[in-house]
Amino acid sequence: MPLFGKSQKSPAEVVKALKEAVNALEKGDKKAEKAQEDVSKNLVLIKNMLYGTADSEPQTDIIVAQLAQEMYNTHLLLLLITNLNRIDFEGKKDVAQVFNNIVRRQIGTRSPTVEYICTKPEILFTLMSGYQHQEIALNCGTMLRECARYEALAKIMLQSEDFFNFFRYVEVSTFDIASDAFSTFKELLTRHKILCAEFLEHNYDKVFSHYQRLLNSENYVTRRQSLKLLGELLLDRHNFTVMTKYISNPDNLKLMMNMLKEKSRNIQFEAFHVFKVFVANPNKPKAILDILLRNQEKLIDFLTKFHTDRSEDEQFIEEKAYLIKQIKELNKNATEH
Amino acid sequence: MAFKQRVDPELIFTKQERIGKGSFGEVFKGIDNRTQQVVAIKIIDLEEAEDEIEDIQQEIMVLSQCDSPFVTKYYGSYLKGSKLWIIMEYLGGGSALDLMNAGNFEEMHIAIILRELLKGLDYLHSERKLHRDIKAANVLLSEMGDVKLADFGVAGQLTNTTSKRSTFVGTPFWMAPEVIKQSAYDSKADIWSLGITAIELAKGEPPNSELHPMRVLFLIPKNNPPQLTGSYSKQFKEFVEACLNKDPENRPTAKELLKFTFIRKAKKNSFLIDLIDRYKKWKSQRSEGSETESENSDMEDSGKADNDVDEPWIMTVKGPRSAKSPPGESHNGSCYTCTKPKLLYVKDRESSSLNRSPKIGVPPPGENSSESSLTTSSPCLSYLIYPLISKLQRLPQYSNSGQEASHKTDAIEELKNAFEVADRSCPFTSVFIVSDMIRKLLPSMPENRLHAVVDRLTSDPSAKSDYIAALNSSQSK
Repeated sequence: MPLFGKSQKSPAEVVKALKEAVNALEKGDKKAEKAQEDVSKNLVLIKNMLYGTADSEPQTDIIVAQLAQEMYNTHLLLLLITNLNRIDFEGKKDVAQVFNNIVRRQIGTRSPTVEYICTKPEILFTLMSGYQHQEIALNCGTMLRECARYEALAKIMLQSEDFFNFFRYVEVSTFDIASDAFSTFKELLTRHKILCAEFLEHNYDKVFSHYQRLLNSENYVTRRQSLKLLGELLLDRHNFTVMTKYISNPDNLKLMMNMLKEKSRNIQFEAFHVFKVFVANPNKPKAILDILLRNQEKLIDFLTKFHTDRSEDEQFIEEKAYLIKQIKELNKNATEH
Repeated sequence: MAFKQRVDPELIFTKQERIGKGSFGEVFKGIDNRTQQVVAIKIIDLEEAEDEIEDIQQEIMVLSQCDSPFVTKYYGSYLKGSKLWIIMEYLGGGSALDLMNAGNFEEMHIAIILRELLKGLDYLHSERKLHRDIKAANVLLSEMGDVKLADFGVAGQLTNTTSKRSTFVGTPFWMAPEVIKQSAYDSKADIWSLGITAIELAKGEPPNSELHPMRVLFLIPKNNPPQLTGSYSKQFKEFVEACLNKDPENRPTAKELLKFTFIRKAKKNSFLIDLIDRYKKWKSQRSEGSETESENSDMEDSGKADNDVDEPWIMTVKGPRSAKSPPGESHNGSCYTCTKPKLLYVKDRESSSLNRSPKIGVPPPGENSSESSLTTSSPCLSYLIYPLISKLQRLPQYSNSGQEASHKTDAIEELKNAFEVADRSCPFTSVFIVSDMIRKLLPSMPENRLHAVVDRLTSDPSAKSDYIAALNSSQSK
């Protein structure tokens, strides 16, 4: 702590100053430039309290607790993110750093900020809508992923109608934003296994009809990444019910069989890892069995020649051999049922 | 907001001559048609790239959050088919490595370059970012003598929860001992690499460059730190010595290094223009030969992929046949060669293979045999160790959220990395450990049975994959 020079502001003072500066910025009058300066300055002060600097340690727990409490009381977090587009480049990053640090804050096993955000879910919805604005999308993404680490917050996001906007965000033409949105999307769908499984089961039709569009996207990255994620979702044992449902639908099988023949080898390969589940299913519905039977010879031929150069991927080689064997034996299975 | 509407980079930018290429793809000079600004266009074919798309996205993420005169500026990225165009600031002076082709640098030049690098590192580190691949090849100069850090292919972001990282990335000769040893490391690893780069700038090559990079991996943690020897000033030698301290705690920060006499006495950037002019002259003298050489290696498509069956599947009993599968295009893997291959480039697999339980250790498409032989995991790892570790990670006590659980996951991830490194630096280490464990636990087991067990555990091709067994058992109930 400096003995000389500027005297240290108290947490309440900094929060108040920052709040006033953001309000002034929001009004956008002629003092905007000064307001911008004040916002930056106070954000840095808060950031340094939380993270410390090269020359100073972070503040004591008591000061940080006061700071956090002030932020909750004044709803500073919401104010900052609703005005994020008005804050300058470095300031936006500082907001994200401050936000993430405060979210991670723990008292014993409690996460007070997480509890606070649960009572103020607008924070999450505002952050999610941030993907619509190029200049703040990535900052919002960072904060969203921090929130998504907490089950309570992930639940609010998953269960909101806004979640379905992600199906648009992951496909926007700005590559950076689409990528960022996809990683948040993936985090929400995979992080908390039981929550995710419940969500997928309860919203199966809606989710998978939206998901279908991603798999058919014109965007190479969307197609490839969503296919890969689909494989991960289906093969996660928590999602067993969802998987069973998915692999009973002949349309899904058709889609995967077509994707096996996409011109992109990576997409072919990802499709293989979904396709294999249909074949490995010991209780194939008739519609599935029919398609496989109808293409039996072709599939055997196709799989025999499929990615033969992956000679180092033993698991792939095995799985492929297993699939070929299963498909060869299909008739026998059919008569047994 | 440009939802859906496709943006074609070829309409926005005019691609000009190629200015570089590497394991990631190619870099072109280009013009932004809207502003006439000269830009660098890095084109990565995601279909061919060895890296996972997530890693490339990570690089872009790090770049897009940087705004410093000491770091190459990022303007945006565009997707065209499977090709990703990354638009960056164009730096016409070449890399420090290029400039050394025309002759050695004087100490005076080196001090300027190091000062500017330190400013770049100070910025990155204050942003809690690591570069992780500092070397002369990644130092770019503008025609005016500005010096900027480039190539964030391996840059990492430190978050507060993981303020130290433990992934194995970089290029062996420049790697800090703690990075090689897979201990947690932080911004101080960049400082070590800066020290090695200082020697590189003085001598033209990093220390140990005459040795095989694999051997260097052993030597760096074992040996005393390299020193700058020869007729250089005391201040320069002091600077290098400070960077190359084996204990990261004892290395100064970038900010502290900026205060070293060697750096404070460095001259203005404009002195570097001499080097740039010298290089231009050198290049023009030998330009003809090299240009034809670089043209030759352009993409050549050959043959069809082996799996192209053009006949469509029979999906329905009636109705038109789907015309969804156009004739396959070949994707031959060797359309670009690396001038200086990344010799060791093992990525954090957290996001890929581990979470993907049924596919363990998907090897990269083997484009470069020397590379893949180093990075592919042994059967013992992929069949025994990794599945066990993945299993551990899925246990509730690890897969739950919360800080404590994430520490545990980190610990497990470390364990996995340790196996990976052990096997890489000394093949069959993991097999040895496993067989020894069995020997310890079952001392009465005859040696030939032990061999059989180990054989089976490590390389049995008929070992059933996780998911098929699970699927069958859970459905047959």
